[in-house]
Amino acid sequence: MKLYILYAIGLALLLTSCNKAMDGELLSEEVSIPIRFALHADTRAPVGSITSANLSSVGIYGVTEGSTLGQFPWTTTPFASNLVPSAINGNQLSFATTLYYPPGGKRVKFYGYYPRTTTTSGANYITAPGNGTAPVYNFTLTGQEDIMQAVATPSGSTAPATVALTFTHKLTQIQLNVSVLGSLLTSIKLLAVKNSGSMNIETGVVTYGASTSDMTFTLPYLLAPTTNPLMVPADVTSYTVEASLTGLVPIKRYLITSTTGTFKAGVVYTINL
Amino acid sequence: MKKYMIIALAASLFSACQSDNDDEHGIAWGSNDPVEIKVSAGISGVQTKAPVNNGDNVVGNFVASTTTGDYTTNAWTATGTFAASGTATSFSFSPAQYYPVDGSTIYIKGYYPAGSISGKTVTYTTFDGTQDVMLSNQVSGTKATAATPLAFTFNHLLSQLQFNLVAAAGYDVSKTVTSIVIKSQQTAKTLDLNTGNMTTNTGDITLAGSFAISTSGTVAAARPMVIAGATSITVSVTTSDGVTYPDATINLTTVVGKAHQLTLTFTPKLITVTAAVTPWDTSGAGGSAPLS
Repeated sequence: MKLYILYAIGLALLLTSCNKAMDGELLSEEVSIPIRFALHADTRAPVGSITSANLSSVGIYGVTEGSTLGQFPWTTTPFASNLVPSAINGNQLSFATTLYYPPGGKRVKFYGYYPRTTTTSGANYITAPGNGTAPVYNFTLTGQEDIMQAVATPSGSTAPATVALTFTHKLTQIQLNVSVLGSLLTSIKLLAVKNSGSMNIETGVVTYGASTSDMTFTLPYLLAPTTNPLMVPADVTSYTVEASLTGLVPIKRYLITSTTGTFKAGVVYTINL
Repeated sequence: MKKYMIIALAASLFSACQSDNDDEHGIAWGSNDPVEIKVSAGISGVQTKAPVNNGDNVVGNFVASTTTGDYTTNAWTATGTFAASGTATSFSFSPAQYYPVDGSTIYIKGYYPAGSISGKTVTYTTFDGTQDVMLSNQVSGTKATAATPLAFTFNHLLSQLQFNLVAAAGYDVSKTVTSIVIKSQQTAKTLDLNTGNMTTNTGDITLAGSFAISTSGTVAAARPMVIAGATSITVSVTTSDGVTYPDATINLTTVVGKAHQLTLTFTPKLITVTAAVTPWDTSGAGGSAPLS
């Protein structure tokens, strides 16, 4: 019982502190801070739309139709190579250098990926396109990344059409309803989640490596029942959840599964423990 | 023309200049001697009519007849080299030709280029648009009039096509046009010296080279000569990046002795890109089971 009381007091203090911050001097900084914050948050959080805030995380490739109609072979110098849009108006992108279709009617097939990087090594990097080889985006997951890919219908100067890049999510999203654990919960995480992978920019196929890590959920805010989500590899049949509780309550582990057999990409699962 | 290259007919611009050449040049001759025929020649509108350009040495071909307007029977043939100019310049026949000693009249016409002559008909075998077919006025004279040089004015019988190559906004001007194929053009096959009428050969004319494309427009150096009277011109253009723009058709009526400038504008199509994100599907359902 004492634990409940202490936790309640602590929670109340935390709540008070947050309110002061929002109502006090930090408010004046919200004019400038949210822009950076939003940019950061949107690139490491579930993405609902492409906005000016996350625009710099959009990478675009374009490949010109080859000598065989309907084939778009990659080269070391594709039509567009990891372009980043400079602005967005509504959903229409613009670029620092205006894009024109190649002359003669050759069509171009555009690809998009998210989040964009220009690095060629490290935790997150992109490989250069080669002759007949699409670039590959290599990533390391912490649970906060929304990996996406888009493919547009080819178009050319003879029948110019809007190049519509519709990004699809490659990870699945899991959040937990932890109300059953009440205020005893001190931390909760997914165990042994595959945390490194690569995505073929052309096909969107994601391949995971062998390395794993535990990914920790953010605890529910105030009295909310669910944790913040984690974005983890899809097409997995089950994940193991480990919950740490206050005091001497032993760690609890759960096996979570999807009703459809596997956790699907682009789907948000809210699992009750 | 569904391709993005937009073809615009600028205009038929250059009219044939009609500069008659009346220069006279005195000659000395003896009354009882053979009197050489002295001549001069100029070209109407030469300054605008490539491939014969002002200052070029033109080897004119001349045929004589004893019957006015009828060159079925050639009294003689000769050539004469003169500098192309709108102003007549003097030259001599090769071999030298003389007025009939009996005082009769000799009638002479000039034509260009040489071809092969048979009676009144000149036959050509080159149909690449480079031949600027010209025919002169008929001149005539007698021994008694030899003091006055015979003045020829060569008139163009064909129409000239010029291609002005323009890069619209966004087009890479480092590219050049490497080939312009003018489809199904008529070129001179035979020339009737009596009437100036021509029979024609029909075929494609290919202008090959490296023709600049610029924002202000650059006229290609190759300027083919074709039979006038066409009501449309169809061209296929290839650029240095290997792109071919097939069968662009320009409506115009070609006119004898005029140069028609056709403007080919290379206009790239803007690419419009939109981005959207497939919404997360929030209907995912699952369950949990405690692990012992």
